[in-house]
Amino acid sequence: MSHYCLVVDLNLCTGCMSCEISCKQENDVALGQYWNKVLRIGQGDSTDTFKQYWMPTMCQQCADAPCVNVCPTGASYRNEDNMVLINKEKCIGCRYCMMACPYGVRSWNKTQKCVEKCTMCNQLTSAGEKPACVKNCASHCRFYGDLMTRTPTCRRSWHR
Amino acid sequence: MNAKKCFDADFTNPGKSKILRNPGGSELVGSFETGVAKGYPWAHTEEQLMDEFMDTQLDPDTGKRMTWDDLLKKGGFEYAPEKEWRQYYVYKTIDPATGKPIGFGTPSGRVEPYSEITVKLGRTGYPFSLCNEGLIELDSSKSAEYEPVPYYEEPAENPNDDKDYPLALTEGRVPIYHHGTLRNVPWLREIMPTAEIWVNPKDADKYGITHKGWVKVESRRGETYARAIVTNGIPERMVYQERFWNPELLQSDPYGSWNAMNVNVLTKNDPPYNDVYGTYTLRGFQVKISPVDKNPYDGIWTEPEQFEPWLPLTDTKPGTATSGSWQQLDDTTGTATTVEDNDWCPDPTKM
Repeated sequence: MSHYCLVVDLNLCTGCMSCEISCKQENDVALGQYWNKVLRIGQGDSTDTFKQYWMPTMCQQCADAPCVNVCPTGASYRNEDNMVLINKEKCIGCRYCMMACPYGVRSWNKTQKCVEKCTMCNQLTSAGEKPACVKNCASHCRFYGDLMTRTPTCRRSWHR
Repeated sequence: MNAKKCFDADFTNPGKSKILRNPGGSELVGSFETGVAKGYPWAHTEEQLMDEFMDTQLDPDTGKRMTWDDLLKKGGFEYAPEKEWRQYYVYKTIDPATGKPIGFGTPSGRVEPYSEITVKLGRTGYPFSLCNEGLIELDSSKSAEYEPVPYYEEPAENPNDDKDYPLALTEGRVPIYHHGTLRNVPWLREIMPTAEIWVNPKDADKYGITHKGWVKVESRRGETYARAIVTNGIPERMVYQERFWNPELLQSDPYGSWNAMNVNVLTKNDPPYNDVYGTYTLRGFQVKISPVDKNPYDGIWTEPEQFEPWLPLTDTKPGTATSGSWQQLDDTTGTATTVEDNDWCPDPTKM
């Protein structure tokens, strides 16, 4: 069974937001909505112990995806490659999946009145290209590939 | 005498003096007076003039002198071949004459904390001044003109005993912008629509600042506004603000917007100056902050949806876009209209 996924090496991420912007350009995501968002995470009770890092968040392609389990119409589904995707034609806009998503990475499309999320740039990856965020990552910290077959790009990060 | 020299092609442009002569050599084609009468002393047509401007340009392919026509055929620019790119570790290149690395472009070939080139530039204008041509040699046996090693000096506004302005402000950058560029990209501005000022939680308690609340920042020179980010990422008695020159205030006061959130109205430009280059203190001066109840200016865009007028137009025909303008096709009528780049900025009177 394949498990296509985006892997991010947080040690390399510089918080340049290239992935966020290129995602919005490629997929025409509305202002205020994010399929991929870079969070600024700061931890520490004092300045001496304070540590900050950048955390890009996007669909994690869960092995047991709650969004697929709760969807009443089957709009959230797994395709033949085991990817979690959304069939917008079937989506009735109940937004159960947005509540169920443990990572909060689903977004609401106001104009189409349906739920959207990272498709790992299916339109590009199915044609053999890399997702827009991976192509445009300035620090080369994003990898796309199949975790199960251990494709070279993913494996590099996987074994680090 | 001097006035005539100003117009003398031989004087103002010595390298071009031969163009006053005919292709054969010695005889002058035109005198000073007749040349001016025709517009240029050395050329009778625009193409001829451009030819002369191309005088020093060599065709990289053939190594011969290029003419204006050659340039037109070649196009406006050309990429340098890869071997001519700027390389790293040039100083390690072995000089064939000595067999040693060529080093840096300094008199000693080494890294010089005390820059003699800078001193020479300051004293004589070499190499940018044409007057001295580098003929003046400085006496390097003299004592140093400036202190080459960094040293400590008390800041002019001392954070330790400043009662009126208790916080030291430092400036910085964010990776998504560079100076003023990209500030009009809606996807970037929704991330950071307004200026941010980082405040330590203890200072925030002390001055009543709330996270994401508006803050008035004052220094001895002026006052401006920002939104607070309360974080432990900045120590106590210090604040950080990015050099935000926006918001644009398109709907209220576009021409007055430059001081709404501009940290430059706070910075100081009086002594002490840098010994060598004369720069003044842009980072590290004293400010005070106070909370502001509401949005201090009308028409500040803070929500992502407000940046929608700046989104690129989607109904464009692929391949028709040019820099500055592009064709927009109307689906119902089938007519094409040219959209200028300025249309990205909405007309404040129509909003």
